[in-house]
Amino acid sequence: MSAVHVVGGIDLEVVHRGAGRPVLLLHGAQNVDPRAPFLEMLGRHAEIIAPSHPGFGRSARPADFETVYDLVHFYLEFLETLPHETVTLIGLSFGGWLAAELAVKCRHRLDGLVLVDAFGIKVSDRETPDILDVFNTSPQEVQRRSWHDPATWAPDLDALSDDELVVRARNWEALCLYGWNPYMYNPQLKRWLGRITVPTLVVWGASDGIVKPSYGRAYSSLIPGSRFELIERAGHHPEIEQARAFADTVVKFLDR
Amino acid sequence: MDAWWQCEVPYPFVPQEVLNATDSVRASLPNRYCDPKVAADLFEEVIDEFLLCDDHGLNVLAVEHHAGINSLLGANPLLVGILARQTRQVRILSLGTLISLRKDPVRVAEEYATADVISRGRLEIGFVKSGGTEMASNHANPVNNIERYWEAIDLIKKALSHHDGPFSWEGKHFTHRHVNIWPRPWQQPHPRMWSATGDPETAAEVGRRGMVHVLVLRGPDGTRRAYAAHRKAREEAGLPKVTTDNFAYAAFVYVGDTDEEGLRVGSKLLWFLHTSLKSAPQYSRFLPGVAPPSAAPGRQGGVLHPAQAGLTGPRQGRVHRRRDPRVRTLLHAREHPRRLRGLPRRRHHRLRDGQERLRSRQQDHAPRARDRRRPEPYRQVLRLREGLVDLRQELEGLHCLHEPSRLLPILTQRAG
Repeated sequence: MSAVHVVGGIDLEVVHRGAGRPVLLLHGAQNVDPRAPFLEMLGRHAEIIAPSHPGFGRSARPADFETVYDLVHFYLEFLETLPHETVTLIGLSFGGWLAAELAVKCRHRLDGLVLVDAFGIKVSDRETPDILDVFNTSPQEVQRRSWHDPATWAPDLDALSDDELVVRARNWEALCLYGWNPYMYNPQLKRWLGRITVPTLVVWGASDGIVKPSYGRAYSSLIPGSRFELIERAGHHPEIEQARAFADTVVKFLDR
Repeated sequence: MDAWWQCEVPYPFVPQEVLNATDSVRASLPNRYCDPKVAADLFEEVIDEFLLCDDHGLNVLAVEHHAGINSLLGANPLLVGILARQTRQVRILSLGTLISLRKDPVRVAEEYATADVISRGRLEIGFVKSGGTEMASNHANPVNNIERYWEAIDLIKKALSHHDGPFSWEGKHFTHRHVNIWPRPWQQPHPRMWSATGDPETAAEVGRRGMVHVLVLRGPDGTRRAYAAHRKAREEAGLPKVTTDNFAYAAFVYVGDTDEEGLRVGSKLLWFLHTSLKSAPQYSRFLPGVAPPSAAPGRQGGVLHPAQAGLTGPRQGRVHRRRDPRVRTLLHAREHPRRLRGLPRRRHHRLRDGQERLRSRQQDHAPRARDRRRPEPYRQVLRLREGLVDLRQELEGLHCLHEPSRLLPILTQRAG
């Protein structure tokens, strides 16, 4: 289901699925679950390469490695290790921030970019947070704002093993370390989004209460030629809540 | 044994229905519930009490907490500055400026050096790691809090003890290219340093550094473990053994004339635990960095976690719940009420005698206005001062507390 590769001296957990055109999938607050149906759906059309970021999942994190700057440069190195000349980059949530940074820096290794409910930029005024502070908000409120249908889709944590709980705690800690300040965005990134020249699709869950669709529209408008698509009846995780609609949207983009 | 009077200046005037309705009385309770006129009166009373301590030779301790009803002392350096000038004889312990929350440790060093000079060498510098709610209220990343803590201490120590012109600091968390503070501290090379911590790992580092090690409201097992880690680390590092002067303990203390009074009035202090520390789970056990990820399965029973939003998470209900250390402390207090809140009868007489002597002495001169303001805290200052020997014997009766030579009574008389 997943394998460990050594990249840049770091033991990296990587999920591989499917065959075909290469797609590098950068996860959000949680590393990718190899059992997720959207992986299978996308894997029928592409080779999905889904690493766990250093510090997330079962990937190691060097002690001096604790900024998004580190992650972005790590993935620049990771791209160079891939045998493919170019890849399509998909970034979910926090991973969308990384994907946007990479697309600004590394146009020549990409043939497409998909941002899904992505973090990374500041849109609103200084007294209006764009992204819900998940660390300082009650768990109940975070849950309510994460899903279109929390009763159906919020994970059943009682079903998790202790190992899985430890992995989730690692993810939570790593997300905090990388994203605490400025909270989940790079103040400079918005300025450089115009450098992105690859075809770009921005996908958003219509019911996302973590970061609203209006933010996604603004994000899309800053990337030349970008297209914005809403997925109905989905919150912050359209790839989970509406796996079929999400996969169809992405595959259509891949087949463009 | 020496003792250090502290009052955290709690604010127990928020309506109970408001406190019941909120998930946290720290970090997120709107400050519209804090009446600045009431706060001004509280500060005046507490500072007067500190000055009374000075009159009677009882050392004082200025604590710091942020954004909650448990304490209005968010700006500890201001109180330390006032005490440095207004007291005349006792030692002043800052415990302390929450350095891992401050962006510039050099500025903290300036504040400490200034207070040490104003007090003519009566300052003691204490460091505290900060609590979960304070990460939110001070925008401080909780994951690398401990790293910042030690680096800030290193920088403060160097800023206080370096006297040869500007030096440069380019550390992991703090950079300051031109450090050269004026004034330098009165005490050389710097005022004595304390650190409050209970976990064995940090306790070991406190031991290696030779700081005074403070335990705050820890139960017997935790206290024993922390002191043992302190000693073991020193031994492993080849450092000389420390005496009990390196150990301090902060506990709720109320000295009554009788056991009944001790329990009745002392029980008010439990308001501090019951009510003033109420904290939402996102500020406490679900806060990243509070415990290593490997501890996750044991920490997450019973309360919904943000993971259930798909962002991270624990399970509900099936794993053993970790016992809240504050509950242990409270249970311990209930199991040993006489030990901490009352004094055995034979000692009451000694205390009463002592108070009579003090009253006689006070009649020899006109009491200051502050002596008349609120009788109960003043009685406590006098009783505590007179009862220190008895208190030590009481503490020695608790097996966990036989080591500390320094007692930091936490007095929150306004509670309840």
